[in-house]
Amino acid sequence: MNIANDSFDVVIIGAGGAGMRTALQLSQSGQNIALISKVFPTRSHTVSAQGGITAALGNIDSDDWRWHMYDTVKGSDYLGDQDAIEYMCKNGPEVVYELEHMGLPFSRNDDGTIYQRPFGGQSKNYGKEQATRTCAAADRTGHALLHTLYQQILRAGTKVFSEWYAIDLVSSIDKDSISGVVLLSIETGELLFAKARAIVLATGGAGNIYQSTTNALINTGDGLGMALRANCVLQDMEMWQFHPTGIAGAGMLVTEGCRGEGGYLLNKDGVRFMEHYAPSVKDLASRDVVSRAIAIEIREGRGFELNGVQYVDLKIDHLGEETIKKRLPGIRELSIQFAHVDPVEKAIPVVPTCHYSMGGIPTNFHGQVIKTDRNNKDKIVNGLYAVGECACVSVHGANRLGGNSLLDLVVFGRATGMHLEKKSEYTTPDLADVDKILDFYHKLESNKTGENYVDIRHSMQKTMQDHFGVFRTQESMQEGLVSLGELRDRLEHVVLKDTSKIFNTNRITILELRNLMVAACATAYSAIERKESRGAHSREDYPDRDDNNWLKHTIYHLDDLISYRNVNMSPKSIDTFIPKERVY
Amino acid sequence: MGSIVKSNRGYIEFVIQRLSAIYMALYVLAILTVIFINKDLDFEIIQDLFSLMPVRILTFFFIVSILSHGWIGMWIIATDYINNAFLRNLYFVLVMGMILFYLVWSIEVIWGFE
Amino acid sequence: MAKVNKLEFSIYRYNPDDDKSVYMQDYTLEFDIEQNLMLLGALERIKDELDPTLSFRRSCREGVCGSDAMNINGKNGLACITPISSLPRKIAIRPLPGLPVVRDLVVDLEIFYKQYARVKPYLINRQPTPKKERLQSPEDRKKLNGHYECILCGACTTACPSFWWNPDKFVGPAGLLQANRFIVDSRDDAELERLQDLQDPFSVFRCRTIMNCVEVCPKKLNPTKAINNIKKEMLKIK
Ligand SMILES: Cc1cc2nc3c(=O)[nH]c(=O)nc-3n(C[C@H](O)[C@H](O)[C@H](O)COP(=O)(O)OP(=O)(O)OC[C@H]3O[C@@H](n4cnc5c(N)ncnc54)[C@H](O)[C@@H]3O)c2cc1C
Ligand code: SF4
Ligand code: FES
Repeated sequence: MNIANDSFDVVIIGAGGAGMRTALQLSQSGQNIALISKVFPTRSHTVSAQGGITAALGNIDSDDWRWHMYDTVKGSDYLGDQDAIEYMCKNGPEVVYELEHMGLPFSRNDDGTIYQRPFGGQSKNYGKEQATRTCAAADRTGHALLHTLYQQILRAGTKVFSEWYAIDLVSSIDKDSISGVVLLSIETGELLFAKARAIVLATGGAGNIYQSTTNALINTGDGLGMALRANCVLQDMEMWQFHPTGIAGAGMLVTEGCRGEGGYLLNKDGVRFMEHYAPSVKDLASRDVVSRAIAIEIREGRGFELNGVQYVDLKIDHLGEETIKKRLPGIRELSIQFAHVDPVEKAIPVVPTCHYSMGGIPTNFHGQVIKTDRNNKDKIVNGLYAVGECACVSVHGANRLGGNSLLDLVVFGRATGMHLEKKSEYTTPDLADVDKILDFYHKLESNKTGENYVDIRHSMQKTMQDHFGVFRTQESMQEGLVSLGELRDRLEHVVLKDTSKIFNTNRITILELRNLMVAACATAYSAIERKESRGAHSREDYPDRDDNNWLKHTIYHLDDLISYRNVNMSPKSIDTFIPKERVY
Repeated sequence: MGSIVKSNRGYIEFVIQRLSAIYMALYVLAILTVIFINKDLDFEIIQDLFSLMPVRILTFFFIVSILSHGWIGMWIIATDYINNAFLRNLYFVLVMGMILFYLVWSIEVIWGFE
Repeated sequence: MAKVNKLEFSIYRYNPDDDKSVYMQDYTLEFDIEQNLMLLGALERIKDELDPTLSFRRSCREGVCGSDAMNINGKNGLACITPISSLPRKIAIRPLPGLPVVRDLVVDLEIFYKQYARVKPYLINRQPTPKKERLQSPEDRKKLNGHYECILCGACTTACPSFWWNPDKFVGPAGLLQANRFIVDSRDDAELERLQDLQDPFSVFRCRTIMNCVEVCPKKLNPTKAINNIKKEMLKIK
């Protein structure tokens, strides 16, 4: 092993909402922390979140965290772990107040309290009327949250490794724990082995496995790849949320807040079709429901078409110019830039677009990573934590409710930080792991001929889009799986054309593609195994939910094998929510 | 940023610049008014006017305003464009010398040393 | 049926790792004008199809993360929200001016971030923390509009001649905009010390209302107005 090394108490990989909230919690503990991010912290994808963060503050209407919990369990199509959901909803108000105290510029009600808006799938009294629960800073909540957290990180003086890329984890000699990570400085090409008592993965989503996504270009599932290669497992990877309203042809998200403020969807006949699919809450049904409705409308020929792109209309002009400018200024900007329509005058063209990964690295609600042994028993991976979108606690189950992800980031970021306040011991790293990583790294440099990464990436994205989209069938997925297998083999022989040390984005792209491929394969293998329809996973050959056989988490292993894990049905302070049919 | 010293000099200079600018404008206006009112202005009248103590004092303030305004402006320009410390200091010495010279000269003009 | 058009790019190249010095490299790209391509999309295509060694930063591709500020035909802007259709057929792209270049279009923003950190860009409130939120009226909240939306892209600060001359001493428009964001926040009680911290001859007073910042800001913010407000507030405290 001939690279520089350093040691820290905690290394946090990822400076989005989840990573920074974790770091902030630890900043008071006097520990030596390194916060690693492949982009400057405020460029992380949390910055794009628009609509809000959901918590039962009850500022506008009476509310109770138990109602929020009910909605989240129901929204997850009962695949969410009820102990974790309970923890999240109960702590929601407190973490939101904390954010406010840090200075987050929430929009306000007339009485000076935090503004809240209705979001899909949120109800009062266990499924009765629509609730108003999602706290918002106009339609820039993620931006406001991310900048506020970064400001606090500055204040705390946390050590930030900005524009450093984490390549892979290093196990301990006995292979039971994680002992460190190999990092690459993007700016200088310097490699560093960082030893740590604990590593936190907070690397965010992997939406770029699909052709059309609301995700930033840097959302490449790096944490998923790292965890799997370190012999951990991935959970519920078949569960990808397609957001109903991505700008057609471009992919940018149009927040659910538009419908929360009173916007609705229209097909080409001018019909408000959600009235048929979800008679009681209409356009504010859960995202999986609305996305499927749009997909059906388009498939049955009731969508619009322009330049080969099919879509439906999202109408908000009736809200009036003033409301749009005050509550949805960012949406107006995006819509003018990317759809060439000013929503004050015309409807925005939208289609379901890949948005969020409910699955990820399984953890408990202290953020500790869990893997399953040969007898399907849970086992905590010493020294490794995961939090945020790359983790699967699982609070979102088979379908995430809007505004629950930002909440997930801060609740479990804080919980992870609190758990790490007690120092653990260093474990002895297996230096053979480091050598293996370096071998791979140098081999990539020496490949002179071989596969072009662009082709592989495009084909992978197309395969995922065509075979693992909103609707899935055995046959189509089987085909998809074959091409993914070929692509994965080709990726072994990829060439790196640029071998410079300085700010080599070509190298980073290829390292990222390796992780995307892991996420894509995990998705495909998990999806084909789950023979039912639940939440976002919707199979035409198995259209119904099957609680007898499938009320369980899917676990994907390094060798493409699938096993299962029980769903937690035992909240601590409230009765279990028993699976019921899910109607909106 | 080590080079930043906490001081309120920038603020004071900002205020001096504004105040001196206002004062200069008023003074010039006053003089112009005098010229305008007295159609048949000649040397005698001017001499009489400037022999009045208040006028001399106001004029002296006017000169001080120009010079302080000028000094601040020249200082700012130098700290923008002259990076070499030696050249910048040399420039400061020259400008300061000029300003002192003007100051003495203007005192002589206003009060005279017959 | 697709209408094809040719675009000519001339892009600033520099890599300290090879022996060539700075030069402008030309690329020609064909694209379908029906697709409303943004400049970032064009750069991605150049990298994917023509030259994988071209380096630039990017992330959100929708104008909210601030990664891809660059100098486009002489004016700073974000590549991802600059439509190709708004540009002439010949496009010259350079890194942001006034900062050291790391490679190609990537500049070293360290001093820009330091100037941001210098204004203590975080809420300071020394009152006991309430159990719930601190109240703020919608009118007081409105004062934060035009400030908090800043994405720290650096387009404004690197377009400012005063920053070019004194990057280590003049905070620059982006930093000052955030200084004012906390000065006007009704929840912040450190206004006095914030103002006192900025009273030296450089930090604020180097702003000469050239207004380049207002002209280039992709979020349509107005740092000059914020800077004037800081000066005004200083007059009030004396
Ligand atoms: C357009 C859009 C709108 C959304 N709106 C909402 C909303 O209104 N409400 C809501 O609750 N949720 C919303 N979401 C979801 C939510 O924003 C995300 O799930 C969440 O921000 C993810 O946060 P994170 O901290 O896990 O990851 P991110 O914010 O994505 O951060 C990941 C971090 O990891 C770093 N990283 C990744 N890989 C590496 C590596 N290999 N080495 C070093 N660093 C690495 C990155 O640099 C980054 O700092 C939205 C999502 C999208 C796409
Ligand atoms: S003020 Fe505007 S130009 Fe300046 S950094 Fe912020 S967003 Fe960019
Ligand atoms: S890529 Fe984020 S602002 Fe352009």
